[in-house]
Order: sequence, then C-alpha cells, then structure tokens
Amino acid sequence: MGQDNRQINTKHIPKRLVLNLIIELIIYSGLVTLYFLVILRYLNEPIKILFDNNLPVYAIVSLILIVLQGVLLERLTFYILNWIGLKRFE
Amino acid sequence: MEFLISGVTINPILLSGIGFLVGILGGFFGVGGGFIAGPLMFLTGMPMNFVVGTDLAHMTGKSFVAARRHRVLGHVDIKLGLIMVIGTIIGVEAGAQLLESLKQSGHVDQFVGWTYVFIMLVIGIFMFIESLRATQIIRNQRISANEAVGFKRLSRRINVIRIPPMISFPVSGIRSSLWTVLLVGFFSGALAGFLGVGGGVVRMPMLVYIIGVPTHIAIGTDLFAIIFSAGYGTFSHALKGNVDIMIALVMLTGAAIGAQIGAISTRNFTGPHIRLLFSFLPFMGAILVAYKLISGG
Repeated sequence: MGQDNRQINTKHIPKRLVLNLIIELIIYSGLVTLYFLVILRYLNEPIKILFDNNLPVYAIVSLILIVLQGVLLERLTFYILNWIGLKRFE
Repeated sequence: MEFLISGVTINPILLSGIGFLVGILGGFFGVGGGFIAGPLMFLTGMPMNFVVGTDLAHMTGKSFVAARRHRVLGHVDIKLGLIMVIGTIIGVEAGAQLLESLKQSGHVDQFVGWTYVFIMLVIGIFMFIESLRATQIIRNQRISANEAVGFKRLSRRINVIRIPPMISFPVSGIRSSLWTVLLVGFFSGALAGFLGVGGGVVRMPMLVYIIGVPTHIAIGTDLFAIIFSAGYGTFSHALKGNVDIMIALVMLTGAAIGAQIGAISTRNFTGPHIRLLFSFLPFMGAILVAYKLISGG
C-alpha cells in the first residue's frame, strides 16, 4: 500500500513540475518584458556614447553589467522557484 | 528593438529565445553553447565580429547563473575549477598565437575548420561508445551509476602518473597531480583559442575521463571555469569593439531561466545518461562547421 502511494506520488511529480515551470515562465516573462521597457530602453543610448568615447571603460562596464544582471536574475528566478514551490522537486 | 552599438534591429523576444535554448543546453551539459548560439545569432543579422564577442559576454552571465545553481546542488569543485582556469587562460593565448602564425601561411580557415570537425567527431564517437558501455555495466553488474565508466582503464592509467605536487579535491573525491589539471585546462584553452569556440565541449569530457571527476561535478565545475574564461574573452573582445553588451543583456534574460531549468534537470539523470546525450553535441558542432566549409558560407 505504502509502495503504491509512493508510485502514485512520483507519477504526479513530472506533471506538477511541468505545470510549475509553466507558471514560473509566465511570471518571469512578464517581469522580463517590464525590464525591456523600463531599463534596457534607457540604457541603450548612454552605453553607445561610452562605446564610442572610451572603449576600456566600456569593457569594464560591460563585464560589471553582465555579472550584475546574472546575480539579479539568479536571485529573481530562485525567489520565483521558492514562491511557487518548484524547489521541493529538485 | 534597435541595438545602437552593432547597428542592427532585432526582436528582443527572438534573442531571449535563443538565450533560453542555449541556457538549457549550458545548464544541463556544462558547456557555453557557442557552437549553436553563434550560427543562430549570425542568422539574426548580426555582423560576425559582434557575434563572437557578444556570445562570450552572454556566456559569462549564463555560466554565472548556472554555476550558482549547480553550487547549490553540490556540483561545483571550486578548487579544481580555479586551478584549471589558470591553464585555460594560458592555453587560450597559446592557441590564439598559433592561429595568428598559421594565418600567414594561408588556407587557415579550411585547416582550422576541418581540425575542429575531426576533434568534435572523435569526442562524439568516443563518448557515445563509452556511455553506452557504462549503461550496460550498470544494467549487468548493478553497480552505482557514479562508478560506471565505459573506459575506466584510461583514467586509471593517467592517474598512475603522479608528478608532485599531488592535490586532493574533496568535493570531487579525487586526488590528482597539479600538472594533470593544468594540462587539461591548457589543452582545452588552446583548442578554444585556436578553433574559436568555448572550451566546455572539450573540457567536460576531459574532466570525466582524464581526471576522473564524477559527471555532475564535471558539469558544475566546467561552468564555474567558463565564467572566468568567457569573462576574460569578453573583456578582450570589448576592448577591440566587438561586444554589443545590450544584445548580451537581452539574451541573458532568456538564458538565465534556461540555465536554471537545465541545471535542475541534471538531478533526474545519471552520469552515463548525461554523457550519452552530451555525445550528440560534438556531432552537431561538427555538422554545422562541415556544412559551412563545404558550402563556403
């Protein structure tokens, strides 16, 4: 009986996992669209000016930006993952 | 969306989608995915010089996200990764120098291209046969998936070479010569510098077969090493004006979530099964480059 229950539970995990992933993707897509509209739109021109005028500073700023965004997105996805309970299925 | 640095207009959702696809591959297999992202970015209309530099920039961010996730899962050997990075960076420079000297003799593109195809085919065939043998060993002998390596003699023979200093790597559960680790880093870095690809597709198999690192830890440690090697490449290309950081930032929005999904998915696969799936990546890389060489594109 116990084994049967376990089989039923593990059978339901992939379904739940896919559902939670879809929910995470929807929430994430909304936040990313907001990010495109608010931040990237206003960052485009100052970054271009930096690229044209000072390449060494542009190189440093590029590295900082990509790592910083990596940290922020990792935190954000981790938070969403926890919030919708996907972490339990890791 | 118009990207002012490279002067192209590309739909950000398309870029984010490419990032998502490459992110899943990167998080699952521990590779940068440049051999897939590069051609896809080129198809969007980006100039080739920007493709290389921008891909490296997005790879830096994506590897950071995936490595953090693998670290939470206990799959990153930081000590091993840091030592390997030293060899990799020296190797990248050596590979780039070799490429420069070959350029003077002409026909360098054909030579480099077919060398790449040959190396990728050798890696793909070797991993395919090895992982099939390993899955058979698990089935027949009922041993742990972590212990099952199809050609165990190879790593045993290499581990017999005990040139001091010997270093313990508790996370990977191995003891290896410093020189073996540095050489693995150097060789994969040299191939990256010479062939113009990230070293992950070469380094991950070398970590498993030559140093004897368990597959899951090899993936996480490789991603950790890619942060530094791709970061170094990004800086170097940005100084030459080959990086459109805005495109890389947009790609990273998709790659970040893809990398996490890929990293989490590794928990549901055994080492030999991951290696079996991995063996198709070098084949894909080889086919893409062979097609480009034959068609002259």
